Amino acid sequence: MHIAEGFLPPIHAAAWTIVAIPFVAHGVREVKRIITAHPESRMLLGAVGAYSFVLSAIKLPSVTGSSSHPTGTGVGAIIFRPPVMAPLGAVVLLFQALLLAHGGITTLGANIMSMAVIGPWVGYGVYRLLKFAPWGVAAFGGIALANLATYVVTATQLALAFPDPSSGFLGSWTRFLGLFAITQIPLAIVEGFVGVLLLNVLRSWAGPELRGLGFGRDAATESDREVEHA
Amino acid sequence: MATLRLDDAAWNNRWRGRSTAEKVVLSAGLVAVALTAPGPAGGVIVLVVASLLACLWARVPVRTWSFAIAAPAVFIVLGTIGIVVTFGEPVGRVVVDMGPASVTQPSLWAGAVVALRALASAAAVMLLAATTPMPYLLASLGRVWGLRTLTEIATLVYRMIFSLLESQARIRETQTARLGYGSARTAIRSVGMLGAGTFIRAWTHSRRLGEGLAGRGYDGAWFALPSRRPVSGAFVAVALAIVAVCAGVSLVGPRWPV
Repeated sequence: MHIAEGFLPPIHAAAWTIVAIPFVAHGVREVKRIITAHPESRMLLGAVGAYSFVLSAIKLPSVTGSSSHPTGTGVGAIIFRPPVMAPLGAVVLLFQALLLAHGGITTLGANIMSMAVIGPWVGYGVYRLLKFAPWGVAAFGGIALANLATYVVTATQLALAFPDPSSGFLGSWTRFLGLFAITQIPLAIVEGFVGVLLLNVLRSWAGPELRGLGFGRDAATESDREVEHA
Repeated sequence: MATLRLDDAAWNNRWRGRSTAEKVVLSAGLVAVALTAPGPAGGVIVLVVASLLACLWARVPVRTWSFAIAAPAVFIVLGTIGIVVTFGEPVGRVVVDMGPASVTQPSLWAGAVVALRALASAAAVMLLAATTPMPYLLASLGRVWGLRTLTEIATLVYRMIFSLLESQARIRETQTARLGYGSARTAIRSVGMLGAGTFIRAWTHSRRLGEGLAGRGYDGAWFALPSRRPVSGAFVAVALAIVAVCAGVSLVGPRWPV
C-alpha cells in the first residue's frame, strides 16, 4: 500500500521528492556502472524491474481476511543490494501509479523513500546483521523487516503531514501504525515465509547465476576476499 | 494475453495521437488546482472536468475510468480514518465520543479536505495515464537531462511486463487446478513457487532477448522510439483556458472552514 495521489500536502510531497532524488541519482550511477562493466546485465535489470511490478500483482492471503501484495523490496535488496533498488523501485512505483492507479506522481518521492530506499536498506542490514544465524532465519528477518520498515516509514510520513491536534506527531504516528498493523504485521510474516521459499527455489534453480550477482553468504564472502586480495 | 485496463485505454482513445506535452500541460494544471484549492469547489471542479474530458472527449471507457478513480479509494479511506479519529483531549466540537478517541468537527473537515484533494489529484493524473501510452511518456521523459538511463531501463521493464503477467496467470491457473491454494499452508508454498517461477521466466526471457538483440547489433540504443508529435497550439490554449476556469471557480467558491 502506497500513499495515494494528492494525499500529502504539497510542501511535504515536494520535500520527500527532494530527499529521494540523491538516492535515485546514486542508484542510477550504480546501474550505469553495472551496465558499463557487464552490458548483458541491462536486460537482467529490466527483468528485475518487470518482476517487481508483476510481484505486486500476486495477492497474498492475510489472516485479517483481506489480501495484499508483497513489496518485493526485501528479496530485491538481498539479491541485488539496496542502491540498485532505488531507481528500480522508482520505475516500478511510476508504473504502479500510471498503470494500476496505485500510489501517485505527486507522492512518488515519499513512496520511493519508504519502499525503494529505507525498506531495502533495513532488510539488507538485518540480513547482514544476522549472518551468524541460520540462512533461512537471516533471509526471513531481512524480508519481513523490509516490509515492516516500509510501512513504519509510510506511517511516519503521514504522521508528519497530519499531526494530531492534541497529541501531536506521536499520537498521530501511533494511530497510523495501529491502522496499518492490522494488515501489515501478518503480511510481513507471510512475505518473510514466501520470500525464504522463493530464495530457496532460486538457489536450487539458478545457483551459479545468483552467485555471479554476489547473492548469498558464500558469494559475499568470496567477493569480500577478492576485494581484500586486490 | 494479459492486459492492464489503463494501458488498454491509453492505446485506444481519441487523444492517443496527441503530443504528450499538450496532455502534460492539461494534467499538471489540473493537479496544481486540486492541490492548492482553498475550498471544496476546486476539488469538485477538477474531478468533474477530468472525468468529462476523459469519458466524452478522449472517449476512455466509463468502466475503465471508474476503476482508475476507485482504485486509490482504499488508501484514501484508510488514511482519512487516521486523520478523522483523534486521541487525547478533543479540540473543537465532539461529534463522536469513543472514550480515549473521538471524532471532532475540525477533524472531520480535515479528513474531507484531504480526501477530496487526493481524489481530484488522482483524477487529474489519470487523465494523462488513460490517454497516453507508456512508451510515449517514457520517450518524453528520456529527453529530460539525466533521465535517459532510467527511462531506458523503464522501457525494458514495460516491454517485459506483459509476457510475465501472462506466465504468472498460467502458473497460477495450474497451481489452482492442483489445489495449490486449498489451505493457508499450501497457499503460502504456492505463492513462493509462483514468485520463484515468475522470476526464472523473467531471467530466461531477459537472457534470450539480450542474445537476440546482440545478434542484431544492439548497442544499448532504445528499441522503437516513438516519433515526436507536433504540439497543437489550439489544444494547449484550450487546456490553459480549462485550467484557468477551474482555478477561478476554486478561488471564488466557498473556503474550507479549517
